[in-house]
Amino acid sequence: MKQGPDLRRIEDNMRTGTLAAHQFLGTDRRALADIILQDQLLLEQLGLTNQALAERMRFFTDQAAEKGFKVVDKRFQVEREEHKGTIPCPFADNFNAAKSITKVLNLQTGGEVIWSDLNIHLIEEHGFYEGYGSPFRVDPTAYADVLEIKKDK
Amino acid sequence: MSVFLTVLSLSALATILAAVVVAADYKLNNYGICAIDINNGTRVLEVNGGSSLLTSLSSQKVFIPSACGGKATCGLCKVTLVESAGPVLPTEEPFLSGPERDAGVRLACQLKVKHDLKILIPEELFNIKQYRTRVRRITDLTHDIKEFEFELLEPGSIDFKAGQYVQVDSKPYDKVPEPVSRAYSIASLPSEKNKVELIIRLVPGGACTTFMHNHVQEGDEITFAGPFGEFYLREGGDELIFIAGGSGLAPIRSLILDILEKKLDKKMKFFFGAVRKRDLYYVDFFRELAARHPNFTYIPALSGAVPEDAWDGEEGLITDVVARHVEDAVGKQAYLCGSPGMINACLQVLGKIGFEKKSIFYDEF
Repeated sequence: MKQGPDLRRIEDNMRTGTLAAHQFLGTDRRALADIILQDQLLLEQLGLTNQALAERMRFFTDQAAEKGFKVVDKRFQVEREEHKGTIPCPFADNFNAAKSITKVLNLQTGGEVIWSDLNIHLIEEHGFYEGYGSPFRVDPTAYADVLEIKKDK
Repeated sequence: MSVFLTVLSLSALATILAAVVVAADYKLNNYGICAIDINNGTRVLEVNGGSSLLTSLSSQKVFIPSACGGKATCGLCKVTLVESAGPVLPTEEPFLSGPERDAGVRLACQLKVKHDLKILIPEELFNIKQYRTRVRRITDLTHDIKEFEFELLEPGSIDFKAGQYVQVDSKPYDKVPEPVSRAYSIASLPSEKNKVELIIRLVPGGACTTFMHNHVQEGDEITFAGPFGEFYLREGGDELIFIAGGSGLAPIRSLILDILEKKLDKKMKFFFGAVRKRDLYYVDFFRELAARHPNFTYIPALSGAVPEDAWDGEEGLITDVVARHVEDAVGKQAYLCGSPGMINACLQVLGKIGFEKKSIFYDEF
């Protein structure tokens, strides 16, 4: 997929690591446009949408927001870790996310996933799930499985 | 032979063209010496044109807050131009409101100095200095929080108000090839002018906290700029309510120590919230402080204590604990430091207790 200058500049910013040590792209050498496109194709195969994933993640984040720890529906153990400060969206859209991390353990399957508040925004607004090797990569297949997200179609 | 001559000709032509481009770039982009007038002549700097305003100012020891290293992603380095310097760039647009654009506000990192400029910045930024320091001691406070003590080398002393912060510069490491700077509140006493203590919690994936936790050792030299910030003790308030969580303890520690050292006639209650016992730190330090000072009360609380914590202290959300211990807002001020979620929850609870907004202070960073 051809990558325009705007996306190229955003990718360059990500790769410098000035916003996050994992650079959002991890060890992934694919162009940013290709990373986004291939994840969108994967979502389509899974019958999911960015919004469905983001909404499910936000649901769990909100559940743990009050006390930092909660068991939801007797099936999910949710923990939230809040750090001081904010992190700006690398797409430079004037969005700043709290530096907070949500961890969900599926008590039935033992599967566990984590994400940051910024992940939810990146998925919802930019369809970006981060690159391979990033500690905050949201693999649509694994996350849909652990969070038991129903297909949209 | 003809192929060789063709290749040679093309190579020579490309070399000539490259030389022309370099010469033109030097000629056209040589802006010479430019004057930057700050705050209507309070200071006038002469800089070599061609660099960003942020870089030009820092080269002359005028430090504008910036957390992204000039990448136009944090939006902190705002300055006001007295005279226009051209249209706002697309990279600046997301960070500038309509009134700010009308007032001539620009991002210093995106504005190239091509001619003389007149700018306005807050007066206190003139007091910002860059400090060369040596890491004297690193102490593990919890599984993910460390205390760093810096010995100031050049300049050898710092003047700051308890509650303020510095911006620490990282160095290139691993896959982070460029330095970044991040803000950390000072935890030590303002009277200890030759050292600074910072409390830094490891943020997973954090560019600067990863550097500080995993790549800095005792004896290393580190630079930081400061002091910055508007979070410091205000006039009034017979009783002060301090509320913190996580590494938000740092400026509160500095404030409490400063007030006790100056023997100010104020009662103080310090609420510190954590999830589990492993997240608490400085517990003995504050308990001893409370034992020695009748005007100081320390109330740590856990929101998710488990049986193995064997915790017999306060339990529940820190906001609930505050509500149990603070009956009214008469003669009180509140100072908050923690995550945005904690701050918002505290603002609601303090409002219900009767605190007016003007009596609540918090670090917005």
